[in-house]
Amino acid sequence: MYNEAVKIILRRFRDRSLESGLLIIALALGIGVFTAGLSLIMNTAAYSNEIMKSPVYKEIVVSTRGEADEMETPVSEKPARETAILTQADLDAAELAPNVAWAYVQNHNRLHLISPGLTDEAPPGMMMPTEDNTEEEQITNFRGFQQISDEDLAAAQRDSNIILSELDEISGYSVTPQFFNSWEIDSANGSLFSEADLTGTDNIIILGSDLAELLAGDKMPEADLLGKKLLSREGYQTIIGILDPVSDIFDKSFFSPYKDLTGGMSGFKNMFMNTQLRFAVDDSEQLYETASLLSSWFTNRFGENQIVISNPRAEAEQLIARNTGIGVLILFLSAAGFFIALVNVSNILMSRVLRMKKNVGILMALGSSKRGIMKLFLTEALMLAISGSIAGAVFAIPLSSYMREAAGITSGSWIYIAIGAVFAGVLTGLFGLIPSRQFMKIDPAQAMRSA
Amino acid sequence: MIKLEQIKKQYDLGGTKVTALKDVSIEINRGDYAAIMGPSGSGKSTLMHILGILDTATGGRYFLEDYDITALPDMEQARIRNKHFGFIFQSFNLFPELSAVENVMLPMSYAGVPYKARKEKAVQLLHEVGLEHRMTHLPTMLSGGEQQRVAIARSLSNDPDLILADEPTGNLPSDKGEEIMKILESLNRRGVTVVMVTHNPEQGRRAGYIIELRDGALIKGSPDPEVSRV
Repeated sequence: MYNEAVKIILRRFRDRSLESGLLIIALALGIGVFTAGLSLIMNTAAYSNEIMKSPVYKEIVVSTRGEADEMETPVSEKPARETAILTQADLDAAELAPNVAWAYVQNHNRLHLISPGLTDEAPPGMMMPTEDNTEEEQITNFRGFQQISDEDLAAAQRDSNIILSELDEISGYSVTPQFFNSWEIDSANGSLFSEADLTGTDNIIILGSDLAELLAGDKMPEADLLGKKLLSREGYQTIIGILDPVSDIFDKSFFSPYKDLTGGMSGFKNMFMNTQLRFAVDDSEQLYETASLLSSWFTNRFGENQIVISNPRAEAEQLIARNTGIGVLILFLSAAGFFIALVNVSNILMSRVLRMKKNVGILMALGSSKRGIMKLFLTEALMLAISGSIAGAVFAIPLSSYMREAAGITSGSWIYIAIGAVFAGVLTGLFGLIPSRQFMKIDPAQAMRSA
Repeated sequence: MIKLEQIKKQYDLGGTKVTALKDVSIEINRGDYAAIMGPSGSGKSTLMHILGILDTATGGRYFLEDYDITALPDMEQARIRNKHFGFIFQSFNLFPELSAVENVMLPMSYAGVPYKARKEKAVQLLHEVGLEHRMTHLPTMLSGGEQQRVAIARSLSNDPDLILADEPTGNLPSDKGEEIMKILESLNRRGVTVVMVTHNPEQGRRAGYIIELRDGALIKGSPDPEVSRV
């Protein structure tokens, strides 16, 4: 049960609902913007720290110039511009860079799955090479798709060892085994592949955890996928392993051994697919030196301007620095807005307190101490602070979400909004106390005379 | 009960010292009914405020029950005001946000009286001043006389040793003022010490003890046996 003095404050608050409501809105806006700004900068820092732990940011990526320009270059011009072809053999560059812990190939790959009902409608202009094709035909139609007859499909459907998926295609990577070392992927249901598999003739794949779940569906446990063959237009793919969860992208992907054949269809295909070599170091501090050594090695081998040595960490750090700068600016502006709101609230509270000056004298005559008066006004300030903080947090949630999205932060914690709202609420309470402090210096008689 | 020795009060108004009280020495005993009288600006209200520890003297000493309370910390002053003194003001000074009963309960909340007990006491006091039918009314719904009766009930809520009334009938018509005077005299007959500031000579004569001030100085300050009690 509130005591009567608190009731006075609560009822004054209620009786001046318009003034109180405007105060709360002003505070909510200030607190909301400040909290969203604080949340942005904290989430930026946390997200940056988190992503920088990824093995991607301990790697130097080596690709051909054409790969680097891929986004800007029309497809038709690409073959003409390519002069260098990277192969697995170029991983030997690691021998000259002592800090390189792992060196591997990681190329994007894609499998076009055959599902019942989409049997022989290969995308236009694409024919899968068959064993009867000449190598020339294979090259001409290197991305062609294998025709499959209704009978073969029916036979495949009857074969419990063959998986027909409803998916049109799945994406993944052709990698060399050190990819798994670099990403510290050492466990899988089934097995990982080895160097020997790179030269083998069998088509084998390892599935990311989410992809395995998708392919298994409700029909079978994921482990039952092992040993089965996935029917794709690129041929049967034998599933030899299922990875534990690694990262969002890898979990949805498959991994096949990189086939480094310089001649024939695969060599041609690799030229088009722009093999990417990756050199991972243990300590990110070693990246710049490693990049420099690799640059020398590849320039010697291919000449100037043929190979692009990129340092994803340096690029990410630039992006983080930019985002942090923008975040700090937003935080500063929002803090300024919040401060202005606080000063206004303090001024309005001051006028409310002054209107109560005589009442303060009466309360003191009836037995309240100066500290009791301060507590009373603190009650009012706390009411404002709490309601302003709650409304501000509600306002900050969508604002923070939008700001995070705009900054490209894909994960974030709501805890920063809670921290920001509590911090802003405490500040509001402190600013609300300023007006009542003046009563610490005057006698009750003075307060009563002021009416 | 109360002894003031050589009490001085000076105000500093923009560098000019204004003396409100000059060496005022008075003694108020338990059961007294005293009237502080004097023309405007004579220091009546200042003396009343110092008696009620609402203001602090700039010189002299204040004894309450033989304890020197001239310079007490704020918390202790608040406790004494709450437990030992009851205040009645000319303009009633009820809180418009609180009902009559809540206004009476207010001083008891500072004394730490539990809600139920203070409500029972407030109801009983409002009965005593004849406002049992106005308990839940806000002050704005009460007449001036009724408001002052609520204020009297409020002043009695912590069973004070001394009631300090600052022109309690000043804002009331004479009939209502007479009702208030009768309540105060009745309280005094029950043993409550009453000190009242008044301009009204008739009210002064009805008090057993006149403290008369002029220009801050005490003109008369001892119990006058010739003044009749009502």
